[in-house]
Amino acid sequence: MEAAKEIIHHSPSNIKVHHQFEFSGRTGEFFRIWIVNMLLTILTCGIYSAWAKVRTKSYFYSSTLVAGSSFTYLAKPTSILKGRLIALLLMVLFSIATQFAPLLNIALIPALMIATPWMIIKATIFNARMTAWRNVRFNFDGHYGDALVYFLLMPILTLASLGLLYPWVVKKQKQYLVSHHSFGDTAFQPKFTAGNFYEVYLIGFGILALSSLVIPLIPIVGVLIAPLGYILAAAFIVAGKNNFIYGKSHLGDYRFNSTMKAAPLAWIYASNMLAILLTLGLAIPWAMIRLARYRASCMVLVADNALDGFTDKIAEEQSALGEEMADIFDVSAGI
Amino acid sequence: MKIEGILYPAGTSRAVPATLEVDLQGMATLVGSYADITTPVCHANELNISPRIGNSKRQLRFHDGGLFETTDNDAVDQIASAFKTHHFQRAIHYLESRARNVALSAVTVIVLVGLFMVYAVPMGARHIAMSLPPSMAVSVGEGSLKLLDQMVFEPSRLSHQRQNELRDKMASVSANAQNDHVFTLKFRHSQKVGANAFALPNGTLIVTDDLVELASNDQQIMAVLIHEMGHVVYRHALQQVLQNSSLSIMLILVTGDIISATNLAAAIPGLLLKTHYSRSMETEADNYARDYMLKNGLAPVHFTDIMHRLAQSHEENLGEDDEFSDILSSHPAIEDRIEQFLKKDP
Repeated sequence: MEAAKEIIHHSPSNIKVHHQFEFSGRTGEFFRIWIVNMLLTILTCGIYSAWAKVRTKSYFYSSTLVAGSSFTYLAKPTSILKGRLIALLLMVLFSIATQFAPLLNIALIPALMIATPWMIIKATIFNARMTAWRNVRFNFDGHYGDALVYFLLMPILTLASLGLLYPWVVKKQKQYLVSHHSFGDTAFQPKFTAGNFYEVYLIGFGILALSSLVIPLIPIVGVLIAPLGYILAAAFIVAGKNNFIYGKSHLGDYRFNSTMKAAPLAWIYASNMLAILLTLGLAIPWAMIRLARYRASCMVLVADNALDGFTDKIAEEQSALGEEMADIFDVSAGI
Repeated sequence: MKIEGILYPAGTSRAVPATLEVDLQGMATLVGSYADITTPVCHANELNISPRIGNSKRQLRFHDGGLFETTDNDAVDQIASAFKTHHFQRAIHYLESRARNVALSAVTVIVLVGLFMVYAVPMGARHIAMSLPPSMAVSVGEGSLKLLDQMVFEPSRLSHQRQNELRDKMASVSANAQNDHVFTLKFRHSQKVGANAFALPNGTLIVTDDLVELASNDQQIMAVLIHEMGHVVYRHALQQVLQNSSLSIMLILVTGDIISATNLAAAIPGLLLKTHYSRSMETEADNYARDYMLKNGLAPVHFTDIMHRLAQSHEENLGEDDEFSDILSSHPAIEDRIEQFLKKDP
């Protein structure tokens, strides 16, 4: 393990240490984990996929370091497997039911619309609580009612506004998610504005429009250049959103710097895609590792040196029922 | 045994450099002075030890919630193998840590996925294609004809009288075919396609003007049409589309990105047009045609004659555009096909 690079700035407060995020995972090592996961998942007809998921997540979490300490993924494979089996059972029951009563198909869409906010909430809670750093868990305390507003009503509003409200809606959603997350008992505070998101989406769509213009302007070669432009636009939006969401959120007195850039990210996306296609998927571990490495290299936690002021409050509140439901959600997202 | 690491006491984000000592009996203690920290002394088998995953950090949890984190994976492995029973997770690490095991795993995965694509996917596609309701086939057919008209076809230049003559003959052929498909015959002209015939899943048979002119008699045209009917009866087009799309879906699942998925959606109409039937599908349609001809007193020589003529005409135009070959899809094997066709002749 390498100690975190700490750059001391001379400011009056004691919050002056820049803790650089680091990713220590290596391609060769992860390839071994990944290929064994594939093999056992195939040989067990998918049952092993729950263990595969936990091993993959654990590897990435425990290879991500900040201030010398790694993250921990706490989920148990058996509870993920249980959730997957329950979700699978629901799907099978539903498809049998529609065989006998085809009208149930019509009920499916409203049922899914109503269930989506619930799944988002349960998923976010599960992922937050299964993540820890220095023996302190993350938490999410959102409720169904809020999620219904942010993830069902607001998207409908977006449609009604012909997409003009989309950046505002994304901002509201992210703001909701960030402000209901906490690390131990310290809440995150979002400081980004709707203007930030309009800026990101306007420039992103600008790049998209320009790259489409290339097609009629430059014959033949234009068709080859345009997809690169699309990837650049996607990378610009991802990087911009990432920088605002992390870079403008506070955790107590601490804050983060996020300096992701569109061009390197687009290069990683494009080369990953090409490598995966050319190797028929065998380059996936390499692609995942270099993306994780780039993401970590763009994140800095600005805090004091000790980082010992957080207290864990969730340990007592864990109820088995909530975890079970979260697990079921986990499956629905997977399928 | 001494293990260097960091202790995270329960309940806070404090990080304390610490040394864990495990004696020969398995008693685990933190050595050194850690002031206010009261992590209990316990036996190693009471520790919750995280499984080894590569060389990523290892965590040992005490029952009071305290967490000891270390990079010394080998030492932790020794303790785990001496005092804990994690056979399952250790077996997985054994698979992951030996180069030979990894190579074997990779080969096995590639072989299994390959077998799945070569055998399971076509079988599944055939099963699904045959069990789909006929209405599905009809809607697929209508879409394809529109697309073909936009892309390659022009209206036929044959006289209405000639078209109706051939339609009547086709009607009596399909009446004898003893299946519940409804076949309609359409004529199209296309310089690009040349002499050719197509079958759409809904029973629409398309014959190009060039093919009508190429045939030296109408029985030859009928022989081609019966072959095409075979493709419809066995739902070959549907099978092909299902196969291609299931392979594409697998590719998306494996590569897991949306951008290639959108490219794929755009490629599907092209696939419909350009995809050739597999050899086994052509054989199946050939057999269908031969059985019909033998049963209904149509000399098989008409089929082989028109095949020879088609092969010749496409060889003359070779290099122009051969991507729309349907009846001639396995071009170099055409002599084989004719030979096979004649073999079972009485």
